[in-house]
Amino acid sequence: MLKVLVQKFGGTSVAEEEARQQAASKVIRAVQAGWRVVVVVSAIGRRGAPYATDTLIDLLRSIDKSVAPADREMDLMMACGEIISTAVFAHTLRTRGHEAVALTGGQAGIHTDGEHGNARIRSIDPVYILELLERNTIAVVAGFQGITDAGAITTLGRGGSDTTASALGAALAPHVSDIAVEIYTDVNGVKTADPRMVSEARTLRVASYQEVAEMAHQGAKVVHPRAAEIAHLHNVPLWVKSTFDDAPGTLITGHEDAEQETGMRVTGVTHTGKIVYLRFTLPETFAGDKQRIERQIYRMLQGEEIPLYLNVTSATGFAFAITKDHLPRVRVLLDGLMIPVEPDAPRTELPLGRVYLLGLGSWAGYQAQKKILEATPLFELHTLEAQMTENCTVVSVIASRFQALPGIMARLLAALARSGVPVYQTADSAYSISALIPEADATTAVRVLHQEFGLSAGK
Amino acid sequence: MSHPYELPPTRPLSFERERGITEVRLQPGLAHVEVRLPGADIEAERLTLLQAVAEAGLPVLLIKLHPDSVSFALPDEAIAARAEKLLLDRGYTYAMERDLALIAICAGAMRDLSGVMAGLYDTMDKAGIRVAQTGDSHDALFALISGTNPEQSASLLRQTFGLTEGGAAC
Repeated sequence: MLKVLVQKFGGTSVAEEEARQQAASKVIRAVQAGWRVVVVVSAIGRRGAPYATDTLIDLLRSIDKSVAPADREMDLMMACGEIISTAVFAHTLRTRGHEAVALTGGQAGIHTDGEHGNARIRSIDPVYILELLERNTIAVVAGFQGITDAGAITTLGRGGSDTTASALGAALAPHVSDIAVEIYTDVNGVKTADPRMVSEARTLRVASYQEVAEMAHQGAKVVHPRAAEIAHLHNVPLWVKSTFDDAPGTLITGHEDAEQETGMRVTGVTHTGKIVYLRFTLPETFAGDKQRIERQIYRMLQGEEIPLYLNVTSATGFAFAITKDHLPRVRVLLDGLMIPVEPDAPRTELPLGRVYLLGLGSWAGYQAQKKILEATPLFELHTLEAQMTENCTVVSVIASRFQALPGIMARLLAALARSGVPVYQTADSAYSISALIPEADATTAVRVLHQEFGLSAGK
Repeated sequence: MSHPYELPPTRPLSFERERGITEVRLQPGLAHVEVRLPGADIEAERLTLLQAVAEAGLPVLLIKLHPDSVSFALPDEAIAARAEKLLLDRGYTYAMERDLALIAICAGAMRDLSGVMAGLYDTMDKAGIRVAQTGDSHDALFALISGTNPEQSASLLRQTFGLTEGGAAC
């Protein structure tokens, strides 16, 4: 039976001729080591580069900015970037004396549902890839895409090429004697912190799927959780390595397999981007209305697909965070928003019920609505002025089974307090503890926590 | 004892997880406490409290900071009783609520989703069930809820998110 290695090269690894040659060298070395190789490639370069995905999207959109392209045509267009990349990479391998065949996602047997732009893989028929591998031919597969039963090309959404590599590994695993997936990027593995912030950040030798997924959730740029999850579900070893050096990289594997190394430990420190924190405080006598107000606000933000983080509720208030890019829209939606609360029994006398009026930041909408409501006092008016903290970020300590490490939150707060970093809010999950802090303190906080939890090299 | 965050999966997984919410899990028997910290230096008081909890070896979750208090959840009655003793011994003013349930609303990549919180509050508010606290991780949104029938709450949430009992595998 065959020994198969799936190697995925991202945009930076195939952007320039020199990088492509380095990537090709990785493939050739694997072939020489006795592996049959499946290569998965992303599109070449970023926006502005002629065959980058964003450039292709811009081409379609530029026809008439007032008409959105159909999802099907958008997917067809986006898929071209990866298809071009496969032909270029396959030919690069051929020029170096190795037989290679370029395949679209559909030709590689990847079948998806019909949700364009965010398709889910339904099945993979690896027969043709296996035929190529039997003939000692390298299969070069376009990442990020598949095909529906009706023959339409679909794209897989976020993390698409990582997902393709992982899924091909999962599909090939039952037919081969040995399988591994390598995700090549511009860093040599999963780091304990962003090396631009912490020079002594080290590369993890092993990480669990849960650790990597939580790191991504908390802002680290590592392998996409979807790819890690597929590898985990199908028990396929997944490596993160650099195209540009020969460091061993990080093995992402099932929690049980890596128990000795990943069980009960602190893995890394991450931080997210720019966050705005909104806190609403209710008059104590009307705390019973709180949940209805929260419900209305969350429904309104859902309608705009605005994700919320760090939700907190208490007897007399509630709070949540949004990313800063959503703030202008949230202001439009919430400033001046009226939320009526029905009385327990219908009233025939004034006031007919209670109305809560939200104020947010600029107060323009709030002031206008307040004037109207005060002029027509049909309802008992209560104002809810948000306390808005802008320019925040979330710093997180990623930990496995930290519930068994008592006091980890106290340690985090103490370390930040010693460094003069204020903490506005905290959050915890099975895999992380987080603190909302001023964005200006992000580097200090990451360094302090990296040190506090002994993550530096040699510790 | 398994930790409330580590609820066992109830539905099998196929080639890859479906988009959106894939399951709703339930863990009963939690408590929630809000400890008043009325002093001038709330940051120091928070730290003292959480260090005392840590020294007592009490596992806590959903730790939240409020303008004049700290709240957290306790995974079972035995730990709640130990926490209550600690708070009493140290003279804290607190409000503890028992017999709560932790609901975990699970998804493949929570950060890529919006509307989960809206669905939770919509469902709980309609059913007259109070949400005591919430939290999230990469694959779940957690809600600590009150109510005498948490199974029914979980069932309502499954309906909200299109997961029928014993329905299609995730």
